[in-house]
Amino acid sequence: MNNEDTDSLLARGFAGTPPRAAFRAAALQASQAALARVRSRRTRWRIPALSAAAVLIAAASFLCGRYSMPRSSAGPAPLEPRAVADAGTVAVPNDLVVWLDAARLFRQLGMEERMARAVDRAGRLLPVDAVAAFGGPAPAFTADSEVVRDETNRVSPRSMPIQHQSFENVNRILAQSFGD
Amino acid sequence: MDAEAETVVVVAAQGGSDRAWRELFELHFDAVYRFCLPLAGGRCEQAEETTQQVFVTAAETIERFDPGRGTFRSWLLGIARNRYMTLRAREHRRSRLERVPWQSDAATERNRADLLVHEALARLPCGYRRALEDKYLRQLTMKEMAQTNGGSIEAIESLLRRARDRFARIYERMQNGE
Repeated sequence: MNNEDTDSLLARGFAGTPPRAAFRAAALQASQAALARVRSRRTRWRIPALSAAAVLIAAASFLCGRYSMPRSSAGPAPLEPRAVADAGTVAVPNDLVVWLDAARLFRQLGMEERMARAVDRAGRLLPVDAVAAFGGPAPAFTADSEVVRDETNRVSPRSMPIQHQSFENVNRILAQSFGD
Repeated sequence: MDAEAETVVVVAAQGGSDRAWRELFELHFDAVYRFCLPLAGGRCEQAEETTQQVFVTAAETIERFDPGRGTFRSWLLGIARNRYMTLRAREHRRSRLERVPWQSDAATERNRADLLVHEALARLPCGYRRALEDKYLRQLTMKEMAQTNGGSIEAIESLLRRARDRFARIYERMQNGE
């Protein structure tokens, strides 16, 4: 294509009457109204969108915080430190007391099986030095005529120091608990 | 206005700026109308209607425009072509039912060259397009163009020559269906 062709093409492309001023103004007004509609629609959505984003962020933060904790800390609380008190008393975990109370209640109600289970659970919460006193498998606790044996054997007896006094203390706890 | 400056204006309009939108409107309105005129077979009313619809649609969907994919002018002409195709299909359906006379394809073919001129212009870099529009649309003299652009007359002549060459190459490519 030579220069003259290009020139005539361009001249023809821009030939003709220009758009009317009134039409130009109307088109500008209509397009500006459309732009304003879009703007207001965007603003209308902004508040709910921000609220939803805030809720999502809060939920995500909560979940992340929850799962970032070590699993062990989410489980039951560790046994409280036990110390043999001077005046013939012994400090035990709260759960042990709760299970013993439950066992006593079951005994009063005549629910032997449940009582045995409660005693079993209480036995698992016994201070470890009491378990070691046996020098063998986990201790058995007698409730009435029924014997309940702790089969879990969670604590290695050999690794624990032998303290007869502690075991006596625990037996005393059980006895006191049952009112014997 | 060069490509970067136009992109800045487009981004401002995408953010909802009325002033930026008005600037884009003034920059492209004449060209879009002149594109719509042959598209509508020379019927002024239809060309006006299509032009208005193009700018309303562009304002509503300006967020979708991506400056990386082409010029704003090309995007506007694309909207015009789509509007025209929709209008034509509707009128074609109506003409079959009501026997409304519709412009023949041959008449549309006559306008094809004019449409190609505008589409080729739309694909030009902004600087070249502006130079050609200053000369052929606004019919400015070389001296006026030099004053407007802040350069010498020789520089404007060189710019026009390069713009015409580039336009011719694009036009021929489009004519060959590329």
